[in-house]
Amino acid sequence: MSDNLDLWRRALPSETLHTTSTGWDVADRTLVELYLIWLTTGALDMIQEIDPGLHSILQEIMEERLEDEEIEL
Amino acid sequence: MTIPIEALMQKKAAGFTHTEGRYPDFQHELAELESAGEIVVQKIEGDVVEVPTKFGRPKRIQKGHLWHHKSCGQCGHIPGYSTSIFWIMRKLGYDYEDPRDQTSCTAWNYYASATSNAAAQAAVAVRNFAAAYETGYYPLIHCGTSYGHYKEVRHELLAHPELRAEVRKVMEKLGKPLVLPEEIVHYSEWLYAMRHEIAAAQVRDVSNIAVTVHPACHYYKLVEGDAIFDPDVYGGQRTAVVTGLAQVLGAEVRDYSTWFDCCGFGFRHILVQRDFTRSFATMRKIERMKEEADPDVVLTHDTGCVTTLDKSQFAAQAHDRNVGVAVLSEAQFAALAMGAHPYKVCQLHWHSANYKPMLEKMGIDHEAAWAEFQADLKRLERGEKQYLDWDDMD
Amino acid sequence: MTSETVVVIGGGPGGLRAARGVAELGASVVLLEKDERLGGTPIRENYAGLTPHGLKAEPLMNQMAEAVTSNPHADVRLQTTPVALSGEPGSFTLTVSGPDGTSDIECGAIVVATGFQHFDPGRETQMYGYYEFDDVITLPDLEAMLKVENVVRPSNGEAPKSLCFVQCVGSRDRRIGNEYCSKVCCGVASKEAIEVRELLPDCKVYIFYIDMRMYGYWENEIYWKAQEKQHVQYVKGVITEVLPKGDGLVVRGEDTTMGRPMELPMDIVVLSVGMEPSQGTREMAPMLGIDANRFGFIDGPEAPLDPVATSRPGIYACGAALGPADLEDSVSSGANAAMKAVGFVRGLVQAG
Repeated sequence: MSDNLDLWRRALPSETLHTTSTGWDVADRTLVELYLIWLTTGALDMIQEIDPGLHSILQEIMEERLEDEEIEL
Repeated sequence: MTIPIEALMQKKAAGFTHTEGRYPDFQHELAELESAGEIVVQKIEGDVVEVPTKFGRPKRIQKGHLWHHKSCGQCGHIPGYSTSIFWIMRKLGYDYEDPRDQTSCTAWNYYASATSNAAAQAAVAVRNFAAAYETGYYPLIHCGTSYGHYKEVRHELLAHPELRAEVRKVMEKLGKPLVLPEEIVHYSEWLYAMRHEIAAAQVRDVSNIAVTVHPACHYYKLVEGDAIFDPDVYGGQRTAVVTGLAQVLGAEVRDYSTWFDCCGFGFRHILVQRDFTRSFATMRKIERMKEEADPDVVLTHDTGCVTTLDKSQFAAQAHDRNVGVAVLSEAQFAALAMGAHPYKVCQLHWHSANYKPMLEKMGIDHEAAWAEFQADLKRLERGEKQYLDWDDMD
Repeated sequence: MTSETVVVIGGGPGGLRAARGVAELGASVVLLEKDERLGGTPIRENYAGLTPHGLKAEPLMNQMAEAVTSNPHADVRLQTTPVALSGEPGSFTLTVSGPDGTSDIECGAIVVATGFQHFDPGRETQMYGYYEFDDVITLPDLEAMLKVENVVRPSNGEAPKSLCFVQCVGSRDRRIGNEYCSKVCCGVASKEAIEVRELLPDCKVYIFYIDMRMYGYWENEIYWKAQEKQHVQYVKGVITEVLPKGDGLVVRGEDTTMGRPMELPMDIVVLSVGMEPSQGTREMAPMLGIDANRFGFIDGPEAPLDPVATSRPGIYACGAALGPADLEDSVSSGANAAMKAVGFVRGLVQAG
């Protein structure tokens, strides 16, 4: 299946499914909105308690992205 | 001396009673908050089918103009699940929106690892509902977990003003209103509501197909009051979705004793005790079905259930267990009955357990179908097309 | 003008006791009963023996009814239900609908004795297959079989070799909104368990429970009797499912004392269904202008010291219309309501 993954995904009739990195092709703006929710509700902070390393990676990616979009927390 | 059995049987035959007002009605609360200007309620529009629910209130299912809230696991692992839903909708002539503006419901994260909180979960739900509302299409939830989880979120939002305030703050940052739909609808409810239209479009006979049904826990065990329970299916004692559709299509639905059990997925189990998941799925579900009902196919209506019941069989086969039965969503089964291509539309090659005997019983030449699909893949490889599209499906 | 007449609505144990009480105090009473005969739920649902002593229900209910019908102060109207109320406490006009159409009754006070109904285990819990499996029955279903002394499996007419009770069906259940204990089911199940064992000594009998609630003397009268004399097996654990197996049933759950799952074949499963307000009780609150609680029972705002008062002067309630109640509760509160109602109208008369 992994050998054919890209080809098989391209054979799917729904346009949103022609992707192998996420379940469906997600709009950039949508991704940013999810980041914003995680950051403002403290959901991301909960990961800090469990895995500080993972938390700092995620936080960096998300905050950088929000900065690019000029969204203030 | 007479035996009061007859009276008992008569009472049972008359069926259960509904008591008006026994359960709190979320729709009343929705309407109150809407008129207070606290929330926006997305209304059901156009043609509607009314279906019966567990607690008695009829549920209204919008037929067309639907916004597909996709499922991570379906799209990722068994994409024929999603494409079959779309294909049926197109075939029946109902328009829909397949959005890019949709996040995961993130309930997986929440249930399996508890690394989320009530405000985040509610904000994600409302964000997606608002995204649907902005398009004018009405949300239809593909995933059983998202469906159950969103109903829990609705309950929490209606009960807790402080949570509403917190979510409203987040929504203001996103520039979105606090929206909840009039009804939260699962795709299997839509299929159930549309079952007679589906059967009218049926081109393949499935009357020789024996089916067992696994009802999905997150469909009918979370906020169960507005799940579809129909007196005509199992006497209203189990959810009617999947079974009702299979029956209308003419398949033979067979019963087995562990129908109530989880598929084995269990959320936490699939992450941290996967051997338990595999054993449970095969020994407690598949083997029981094989022993008691010997089905040609297991039908279910949730992402995790299809993957778990299907892919767990691979490991069990290595141990010579009594497994080896196709596992499909009822959407894929209905699509096949309506003439869908087993590989192009239903994408059965993503499934693990052997589905070919079932296709043969349906009168489908799977070798020829596979050759057709391979020919399409060749076209992609040759660069004739970048992607297949809906025109390639028929 | 103040009327000395008291209307009692409902001819079950509570209502019969209230009507008898009013008549014995020398006031006139009109007893309304929606069915064709008096006796209420014990008669309509074919109760066998009354809890706790197991004395036969039908002759005892007939005696209670006779005490009312033979009293010259009592006017019993069968197949009659109230439809509207006007006027003020002391001078109410109650419109009733009966076999001869509608008519008005002038009365000074009213006693609501509209009782309860058994929880319907099919629709809302849907876990135990009541409408799915013939051999899944309820406490009142078994009661009806015990009354004719013929306990058999409905599926095949044969005597069961194993029978179990599942406690708290429709009670103590937040999920379905019945967050109360129905009080009597532990006692009734134990009483029926004794009766089954007496009738069918070869039948094994189990009771699956959350915890057994044996009030006062029931502990000795039923609980220990069931275990020590009849060897009824009490298992602490909730049954999660009833499943078909062969031509019988299997119950599954957790034995919490042993800390392990259990799965037992069973010929008959008896669901110990709790109490819910009867249709009549649900209808009374809006019609009479009195408050109901959130479960639909009549609210008793003065409880515990004045348990029969409702939110409106001159209107009293008794028995299971107020919430889950056993027979002793019902009869006691019936007598209490009679005394309060007569005291109320006479007080007004004396005050002029």
